[in-house]
Amino acid sequence: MKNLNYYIMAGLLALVLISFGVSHLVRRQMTEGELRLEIYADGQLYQTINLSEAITEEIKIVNADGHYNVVEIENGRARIKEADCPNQICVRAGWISQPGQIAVCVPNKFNIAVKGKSNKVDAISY
Amino acid sequence: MKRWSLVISLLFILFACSGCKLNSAQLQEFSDEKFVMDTLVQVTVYSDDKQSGKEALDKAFAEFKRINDLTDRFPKEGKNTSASSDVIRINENAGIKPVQVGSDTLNIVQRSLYYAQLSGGSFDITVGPIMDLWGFGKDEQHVPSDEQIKKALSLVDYRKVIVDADNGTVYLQKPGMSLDFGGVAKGYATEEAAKILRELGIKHAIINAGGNVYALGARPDGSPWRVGVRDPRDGEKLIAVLSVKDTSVVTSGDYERYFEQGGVRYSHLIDPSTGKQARDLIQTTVVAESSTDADILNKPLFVLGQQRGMSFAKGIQGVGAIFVNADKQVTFTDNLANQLEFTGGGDYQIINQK
Repeated sequence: MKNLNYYIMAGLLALVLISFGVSHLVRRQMTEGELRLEIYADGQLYQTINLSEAITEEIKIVNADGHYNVVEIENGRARIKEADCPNQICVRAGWISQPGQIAVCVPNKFNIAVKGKSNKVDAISY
Repeated sequence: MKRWSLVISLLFILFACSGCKLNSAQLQEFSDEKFVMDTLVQVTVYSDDKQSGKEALDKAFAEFKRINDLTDRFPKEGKNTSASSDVIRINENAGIKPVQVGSDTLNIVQRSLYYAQLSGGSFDITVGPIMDLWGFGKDEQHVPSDEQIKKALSLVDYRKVIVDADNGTVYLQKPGMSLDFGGVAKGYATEEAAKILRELGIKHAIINAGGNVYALGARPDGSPWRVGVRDPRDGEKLIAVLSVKDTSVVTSGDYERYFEQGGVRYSHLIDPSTGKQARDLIQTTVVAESSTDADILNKPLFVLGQQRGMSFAKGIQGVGAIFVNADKQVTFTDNLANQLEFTGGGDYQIINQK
């Protein structure tokens, strides 16, 4: 009987410890939140890339209508390098690297955004 | 021993549960983005309940869609846009007859005419013909001849917009005239979407409609929202940060919609009196309680230029403004002093006028 009690207590202790550990981990992930690049095609999340660890690469995304945007990633930043849209506003947006920054291609319904925790700004007026 | 262990276990369980409860009562962030009104609209709301948070987002986007359909100037393929868009019907009936419109359109027209008058025509919603001539809105931009500009300008005159508020009609007196809500619709939609969020009980939210920002309430922790203003010559950087509550921040610049011909930049920010680009400034930012006002006011400020724009802005109660001219000199209205910080990036020269 005494033994059983020990087991119950040990079990409960372990449970509590584990739950604390998990919640701590989750919280840490949320606050640290490394910079990531989110690529959206046709309004849907297409790909997420860890910007801090990203290697130099180019990704070509073709949308449902056959139009394309080329995303270039290097050194903690990203841009829309090329697009077949008529106004080229997205290409002109240039490099983005801070949380909250976006480059948008309205004609191709395509955009990239830098996400991550930042105490800098909540929105950018442009 | 038995009792002791039991008490401890119970204490642990209680402790763990109180932790859960505290967490679930906290505000959660709900965020979504959609392409509406020819731009990317981002909405973030805070709610303690998942369902109300999602509902708030859906209703905010639905409002953007509704205002877009009402104010769209160009007929869309396969859609009976003249039935849905007040603007298309007003333009189709220019010089023919007054058109019955909804209260939103009436509000937008009245607000626009008010500022057109106040700014002596530096802002004008009848710029449709001149925007078409330059090809803005249709992505077929080119520099028109002076002759063409003169001809189009004869159709630009806000004084020829006749509003009958009692009967809810709008009439353009001359055939060929056309309204263009490009300088006001996003601001109006942002304001209406924010109203809906408030009605749904949302206390903290931020809307960004293609750079047209509205900060509802404060941040969930009570501190002001921080809204960055883009560096006009480096899209990767910010020129300034504004701390705001229940306020709209809207920026206009020559770097968004423009084309180049013969090495010259032609932006969509056109002076309604000359039919050509306003070139004194490269960026204006307006801070105002109403997002409609903030959106509209950028245009006359940009057109009037740094000096005259400053005196115009100072004359309007509750409005703040930041001006960046082509020589990278920055001025701002004094009422922003306590909420504005410059990042120090770029080689901008902050010269404030008293």
